[in-house]
Amino acid sequence: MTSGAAAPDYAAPFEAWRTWKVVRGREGPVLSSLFFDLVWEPRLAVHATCLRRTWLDRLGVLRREHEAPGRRCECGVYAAGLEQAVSYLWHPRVAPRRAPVHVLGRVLLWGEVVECERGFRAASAYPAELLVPTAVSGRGRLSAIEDVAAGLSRYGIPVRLVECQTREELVRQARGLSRAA
Amino acid sequence: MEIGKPQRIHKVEPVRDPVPREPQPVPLGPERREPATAPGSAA
Repeated sequence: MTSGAAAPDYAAPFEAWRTWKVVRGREGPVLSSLFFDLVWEPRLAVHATCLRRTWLDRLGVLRREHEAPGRRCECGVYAAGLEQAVSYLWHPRVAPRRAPVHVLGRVLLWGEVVECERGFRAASAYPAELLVPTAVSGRGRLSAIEDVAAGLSRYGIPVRLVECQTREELVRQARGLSRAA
Repeated sequence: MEIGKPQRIHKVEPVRDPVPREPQPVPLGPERREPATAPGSAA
């Protein structure tokens, strides 16, 4: 483990996968966390703060401020392997009611990065590539999905529309695209 | 996201900024400037 003052372990960001929902921003579509009310603005890194609220926090009994990702907390920007990230697109809590378009993407992680058994919690992050799968955005018309994909180009990274019907197909295509990147 | 228990902590300081910069406008051709002429002088 490293302390805050130690020399860096890596000079390039880690890469992993995550999923976002797309919501309407002031100037076009923006990425938003699936489970938190957190928007990822184009061309701005996301810096984690602890959003975890226990019942004790809510009562004001115990509130320990700390930098994210806290070593003893569960906070930070989450990312995981491809298959796990894809599985969240079919997660019951991610039912595409309010946000009809969900995207998958490679994400760069840096700052303090907690490596976990099946993923990471990081201090800072920015997407590296976005894949807009038609399979989980089926409630919107294809043209609307294409418009969203075009709008996401404001992030300054590759955005690809992935035509697929199943989870396995999406994983296969994502793997191929990331290899080619 | 279920990512399991912490295993290691890494300090990652990218040499290059991972966030893409705003594209800068590129001039399309050679810059054109009218020659400065003093008032009353023959242009």
